Amino acid sequence: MSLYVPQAPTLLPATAPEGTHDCRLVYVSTTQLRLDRFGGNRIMCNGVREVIPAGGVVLNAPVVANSVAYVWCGPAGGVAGAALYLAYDSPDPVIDAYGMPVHPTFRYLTLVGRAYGDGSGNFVMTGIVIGVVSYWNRRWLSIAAANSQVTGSTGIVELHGGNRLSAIGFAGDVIRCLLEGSCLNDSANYTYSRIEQVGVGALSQLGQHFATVPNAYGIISCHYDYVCPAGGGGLFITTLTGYVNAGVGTWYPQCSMLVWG
Amino acid sequence: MPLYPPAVQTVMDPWSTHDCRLDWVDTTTIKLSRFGGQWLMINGVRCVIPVNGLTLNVSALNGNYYIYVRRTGNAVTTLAAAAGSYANDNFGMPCLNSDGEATMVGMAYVGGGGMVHAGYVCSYWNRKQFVRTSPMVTGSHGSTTPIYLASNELNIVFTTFANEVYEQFCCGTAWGLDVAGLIVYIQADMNNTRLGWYSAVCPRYAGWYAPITQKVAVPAPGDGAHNASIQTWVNAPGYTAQWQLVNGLRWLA
Repeated sequence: MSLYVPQAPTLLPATAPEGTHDCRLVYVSTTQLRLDRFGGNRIMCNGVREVIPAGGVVLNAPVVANSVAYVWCGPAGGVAGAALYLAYDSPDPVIDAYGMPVHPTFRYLTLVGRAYGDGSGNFVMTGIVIGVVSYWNRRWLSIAAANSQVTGSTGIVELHGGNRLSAIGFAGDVIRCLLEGSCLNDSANYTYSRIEQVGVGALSQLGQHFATVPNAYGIISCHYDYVCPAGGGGLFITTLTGYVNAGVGTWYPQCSMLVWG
Repeated sequence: MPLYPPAVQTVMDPWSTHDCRLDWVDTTTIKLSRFGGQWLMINGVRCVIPVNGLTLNVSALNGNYYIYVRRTGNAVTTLAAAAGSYANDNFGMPCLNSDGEATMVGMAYVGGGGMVHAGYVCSYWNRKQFVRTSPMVTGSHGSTTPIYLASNELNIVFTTFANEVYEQFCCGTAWGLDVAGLIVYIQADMNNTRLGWYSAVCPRYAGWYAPITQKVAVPAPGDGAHNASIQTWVNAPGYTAQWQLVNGLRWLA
């Protein structure tokens, strides 16, 4: 005869750690990122609610050149209560026993963001590149570019080359691309436009405009939502491409990109 | 083996909590409600938000205001409005005008005669996406410099924090009334400044309609109320075009 003892209810002590992430990773300069307080002053690392200093925690460049990696925050040496620091490393996060996304090897490092290091290992956040995204307390970030392009090419060419838009994200995040504007042809011919991802290919069908009279304007309107793959992927770069069937085409594109970061 | 690592906080240890949302109620009232909990930290103390929330009558106000709360003991008891600026207190919570007891919870724009719609209220915590569209506006003119249509009825006023991104979308048709090949333009406008590049069409014959659209995503230049509208013009003097447009806006409020 076995004695059945029901499991006791789990009682949470007042000191139980709560998931806490009162922070936002922000771009400061090409050589510095910072984890700021946001809506509080704690971040949970390895089950401990560590205090974020009032001035934030800084990550200095250079990082690995031409890389995209995660940014992590944890106490020095993994010792609870020690000074917090930021690390730049690429392994995908895992969820720890407290529900926080952490480094797979160094569990005391909690995920706080993602960043891109350029050819010199510097950070990038410009009018046409979103190279830093926070994991916590995100908001929409946007970049945009508008420049005219002219070509008489009858094969597809890049029309937005000087103003490619680039961004990074986390796995499953949506990067939104809006390409709007006008195009024309200097004679009664066709003008074709589409949005492309550099290194991948077309993201939209070719939009066709027929200039009923020379220099008659038509609308460009190509939108695309990109879902970042497992691991987040690398730098997502969009551009406008197009061609004409004859004559010379001119494009007046405006491209915007939005990232939840 | 303990369930948890050594105690890392005491019962009294403050931790950030902002289980609330500021929202529009009617043309004279805004309200702070519980959202996903009942706590809001003020000056390091986790305070209980009343079960029915707190309301503020804004009928005597005029302009842009930050909305903040005060406490009595560990209860949130006051919702109020003030101009000024905010910064983080010692606990990482935004407080107004260096007053640690005044925790900021949002913003509101009050125009003459009170608040017109929900887009004039912007919560700092637990924000939601908000969309507004203008009425469909038909207007005609022959200006070769950019102007607004029909008393600027396409304009949308909205409130948001600095650098928060909004998405503007305008669509409709345009056509030249009295000449073939007239080029007809539209361009998004933020606080009376045109953004990026225009969109243009050139219908082949007088009276031929052409679809015209524009969509932009832009960060707001500062805290407070902003205007998002559309400007219109034609390329040749002496000719008239007509537009039939709707303007729309999506942002976090």
